[in-house]
Amino acid sequence: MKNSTILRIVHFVIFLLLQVLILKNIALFGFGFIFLYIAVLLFLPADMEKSTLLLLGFVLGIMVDWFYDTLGVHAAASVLIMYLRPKWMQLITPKGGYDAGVNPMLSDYGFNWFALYALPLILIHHFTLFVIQSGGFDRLMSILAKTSFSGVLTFVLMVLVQLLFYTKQRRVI
Amino acid sequence: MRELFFFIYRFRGLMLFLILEMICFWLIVTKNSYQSIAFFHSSNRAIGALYQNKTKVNNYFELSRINEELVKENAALRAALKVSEASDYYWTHEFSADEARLKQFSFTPVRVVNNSISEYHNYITIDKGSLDGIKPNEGVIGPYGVIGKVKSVSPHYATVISLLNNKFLVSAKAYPSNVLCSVNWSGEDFQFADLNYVPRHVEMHVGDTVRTSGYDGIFPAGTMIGTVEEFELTDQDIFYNIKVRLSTDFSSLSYLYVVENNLEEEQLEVERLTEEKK
Repeated sequence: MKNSTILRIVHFVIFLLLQVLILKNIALFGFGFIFLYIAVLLFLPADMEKSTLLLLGFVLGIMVDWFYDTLGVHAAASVLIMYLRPKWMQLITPKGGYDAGVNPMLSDYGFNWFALYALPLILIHHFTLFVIQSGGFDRLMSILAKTSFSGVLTFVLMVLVQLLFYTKQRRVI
Repeated sequence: MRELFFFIYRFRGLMLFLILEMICFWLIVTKNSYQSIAFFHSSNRAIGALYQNKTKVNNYFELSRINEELVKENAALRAALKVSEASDYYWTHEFSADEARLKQFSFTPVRVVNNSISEYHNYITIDKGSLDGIKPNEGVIGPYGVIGKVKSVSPHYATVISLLNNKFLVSAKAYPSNVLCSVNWSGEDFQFADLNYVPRHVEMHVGDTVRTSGYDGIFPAGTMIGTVEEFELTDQDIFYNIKVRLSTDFSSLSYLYVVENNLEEEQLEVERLTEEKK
């Protein structure tokens, strides 16, 4: 138990640094942004307590905001997807249900399930983010373009990270 | 009472969600009274130090480009020196202007430690703060022209509202028509900004230069902003729609200057006196 908590904190810090030191500087064609940090939130175990999920989303969001100078924006989007996550997971429960303490990832439940799970949450997160950043729906077309392009980028990178750095896990982290 | 607790327990997820979202939106809304929570921003010392180390590493890879820029700037300054020698002569001999007028602006060189171009409201962090005499509302210029305005300062760092921030307006003049107008970023492409309030009777050309007017007392008059890229005037418009190509490439900022206007208080004071007498 102790071990897994430490591993999770390391996980948290690595993704945060990756986001604010490297990915923050990337803007493909001016409207493709990558917010890989939400992978930490999406990989949390399925049986985690709701309020813990919300608090973790808030803390990570605020930390990212701190570096982005956009206080509250990332936090609001992260808390929103953390609120929707348990409900969404319940709707798309794979055959045989979720294993306790296992991260909901590609290696355990397959690509199709992971895409179905992660893509909508990523898109909701990005959409919320861009709407708040632009201060309303005035530039809806530009927001939608940014959301879809950035969402796909984040998703692709999230899949790549899993293929490269995570082997089949049964309760590792 | 027991039912109340039971109710709260049952909906704890939803309640926590609403409370956290309220905190977030409170933060987003009050963010505009920037000074009060400057602590949270990247002028904060710890984050500033982290970014500075990152910038140090990046600078190694950019040394050749930075050198090239400095050489170009040196050349431009040398050229300007000639002009200024002549104008010094003009001022001292023809009008016997006072010392203060000649030393109206002083420049502090600073290095960029963090910069963004991808948001709608972009900010820049620089590596000098109140200990080096940087104060809020001072102008910031680069080798190629206007960059922004100092927003908040900590002892060692300061954050600057970038020209690429649609809350920031710069009082400008277009040349050769000499018309007063205002530059504001539209929030889309970091290479272009909009030029507003040019009335339709003025004659515009592609390639006209846009420079600061100096009326706001922040930037020296005539600091470069950009050139007119394209313009449009329909029959209903009172003002032109003008797109300006910015002279500065905001995606690669390295060394900048903070401009202190030593006569700003005097200008504001005398303007305030007039305002009161109205």
